[in-house]
Amino acid sequence: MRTLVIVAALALPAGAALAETPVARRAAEASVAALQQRSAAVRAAWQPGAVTPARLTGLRVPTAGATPEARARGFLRAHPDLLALREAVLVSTRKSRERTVVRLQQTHAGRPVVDRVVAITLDGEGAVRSVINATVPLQQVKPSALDAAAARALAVRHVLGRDDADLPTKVSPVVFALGTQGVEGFEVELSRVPFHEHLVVRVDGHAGEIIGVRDEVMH
Amino acid sequence: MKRALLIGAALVASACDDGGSPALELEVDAAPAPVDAAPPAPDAAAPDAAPEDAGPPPHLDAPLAWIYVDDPVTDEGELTQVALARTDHADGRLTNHAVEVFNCLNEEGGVVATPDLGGLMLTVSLCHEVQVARPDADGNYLSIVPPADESDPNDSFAEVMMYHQVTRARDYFFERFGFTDLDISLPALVNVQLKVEPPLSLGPFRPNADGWYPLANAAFFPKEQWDLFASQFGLPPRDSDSIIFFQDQKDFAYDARVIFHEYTHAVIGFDRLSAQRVVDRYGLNPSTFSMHEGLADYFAATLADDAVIGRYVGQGGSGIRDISDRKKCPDDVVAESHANGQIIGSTLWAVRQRLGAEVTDQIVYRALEQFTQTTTFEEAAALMIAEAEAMDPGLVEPLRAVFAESNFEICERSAPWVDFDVDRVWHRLPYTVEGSQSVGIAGFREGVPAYKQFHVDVPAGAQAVRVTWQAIAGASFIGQPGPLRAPLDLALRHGQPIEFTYGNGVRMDLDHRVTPPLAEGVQTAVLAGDCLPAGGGRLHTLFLNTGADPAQIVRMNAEVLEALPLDGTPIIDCGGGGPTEGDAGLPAEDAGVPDAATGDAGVGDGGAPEADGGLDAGTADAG
Repeated sequence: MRTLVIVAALALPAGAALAETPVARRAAEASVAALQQRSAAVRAAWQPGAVTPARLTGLRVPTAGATPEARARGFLRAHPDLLALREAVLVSTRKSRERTVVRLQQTHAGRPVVDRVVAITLDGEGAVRSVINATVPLQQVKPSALDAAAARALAVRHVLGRDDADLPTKVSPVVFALGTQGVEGFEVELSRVPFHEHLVVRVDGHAGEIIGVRDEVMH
Repeated sequence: MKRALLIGAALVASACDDGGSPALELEVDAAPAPVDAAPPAPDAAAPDAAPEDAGPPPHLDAPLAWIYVDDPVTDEGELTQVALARTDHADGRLTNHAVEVFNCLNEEGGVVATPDLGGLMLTVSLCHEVQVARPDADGNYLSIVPPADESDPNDSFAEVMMYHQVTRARDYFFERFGFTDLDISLPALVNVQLKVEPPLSLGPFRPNADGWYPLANAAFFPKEQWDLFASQFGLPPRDSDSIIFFQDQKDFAYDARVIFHEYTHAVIGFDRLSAQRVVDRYGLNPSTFSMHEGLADYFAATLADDAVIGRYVGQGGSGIRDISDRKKCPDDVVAESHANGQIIGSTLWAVRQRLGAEVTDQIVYRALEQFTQTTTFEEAAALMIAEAEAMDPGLVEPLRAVFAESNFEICERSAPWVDFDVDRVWHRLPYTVEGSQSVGIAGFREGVPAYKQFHVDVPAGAQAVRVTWQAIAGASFIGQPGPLRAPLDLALRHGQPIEFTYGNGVRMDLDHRVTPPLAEGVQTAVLAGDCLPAGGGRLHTLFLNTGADPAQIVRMNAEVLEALPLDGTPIIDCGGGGPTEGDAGLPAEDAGVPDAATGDAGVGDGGAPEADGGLDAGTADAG
């Protein structure tokens, strides 16, 4: 069988960080094993080849903290190798009758990493009951060659076909990630028809290219 | 409109006797309407508010009103008299703990903007947001009924429907699951239209004679979207999400299940299932965002106890979706979120048929609580199974059995090549292959994979497989669809699907990659020789788009051939030779035509097999 690498642009120089991946995986596996030693009910699910687990259920790990967020962060600090999540911001805390779910978004140098979120479920006593994980340790993040103004101009030209300095927009610096590789970029929000559309234009800041346009109005 | 006596009803919740999850019951109102009660005729409707010379109407705890329990079609035009939830304000405007309803009137007073569209100055006016509906002199709202013309852009019946049905949905989620995130008087706008001067046709939108643009839809508007809209008009930001119901020939607020659908979007929010697509072992996976739609359909249906969504606003009374119509992976996988959402919607409806509404709703909601922005069908199924097991281990087997019927838990996303014609499939949607400027994911620089693969079972002894497809460049939001500028590539693998892993690069496991020539939007090739599994077997294929724009495949076909064709169709043998003119039935290499477009030797592996040094640490994550 032949194998094709189709993302040469994101590939690291040979050996640059490759050795870290098995190490991170082994550390995460050891962390899972420690949790399973405390309770045989703990189940872990891994995506093929993943560095960190995608799902942990059957947990009952007590935590301490004044808020659900503090408890969730405390759990991650107590198990640093489980997800290797070094930097995260709070997305939401949702409470229902029996439990609270805390969502933390992975960040890199202060920029949110798009779609990389972990959901930690706490029971009524504050114990962690499940971890649903979409974060992945990043081994490299390519810096942006664009600033926010340039990204905005690129996005507006792409959508309108011309410049428009007056069009209200919101520009958010982010990191886009694929596997363990990231690239700094921007999400530019704008609308051509009020109420009818809410476009989010994704700009790869390193390559200086548009990588997506999405209408987020949900019908 | 038919009129009938109907009883008042209020949604209440009561706990199960066994101490389990609370049950939801419809309880007949303690003070049903009198036997001869009937709504007033639309044309003789009383004024909305009490006369000025009378004192203010009493502020009732449970004022009566007429509503459609479902919609005008399902209810056969009959209105039902119900007790509304108490309003927050003494004047009876329709605000409570669940919703704050605004009627967007076609009159001056709404916000106005004057955008400059490339030198063309426009005046865009939004209808005027006002809380119009008020109680009658007796404190009830019984004078408010549907107008004779359901395209009336200012009617207050839409306000009453929205108030009652949002409250009903809020009570369902609260009583059944303890959901309180939306106990915020969710702003809900009805009768929304825009006016643009001078009047122009804006894509599909054309103004009425009075200059107002009707819009046939409804939408959930997260707070952030309102804020951007508000900044265009110099308005203050809002504290919360909102739901917007537009007005066209039909009033979307008359359809309770559409209201439930939009409200469920608000329940799910943007911190769950908001990723439009993710990557996985088979390429791009569209299941995440489509679950936002599918769950909105499921909860709307279970609330209504009926699988049809939008029976009134859809064409011909058949609804816009029917989740009792089973859809499955991979056959029904498409990029469009509402259509793709029917896979989960119909699967959960089938579970509901098997396990009952009470149990199914709990399983689904408790799993949903833990979803991230990128949860997929497979992950959702795993969480639902875990929740079922926690509730009662005996639920797991029947749940998995229903999941298996639609491949919801485990889906190898490779469907048989079929004679596909976009005009003859149930969803009327093309197969989309995203481009580098539409995929939204950085890194697919050498080709964006399609959402699903297609396979052909090649009999032993078959000489070739002819594949043909027709595609257009679909620009989705930008510009107009046009001819495909760059041909699509086709990845091939024998015996098993093409698979991706994501580590320090993206690795695609395949056998060959070919590029049939593009002519007038059509690509055709005869795959032969090494392209086919030796001795027969399954040939998996995956479209790869190397262009910037998404490609929309509108027709495709595959045909197994017992002999090489003589009709001049390019033959690709994947053995180092390129596409050839199939003459005299000679194999491609015998034709002696130099390589021009095959992917494998020249492009397919880039001369660098295993070039990533066996990066088996890649993650099939949700990028």
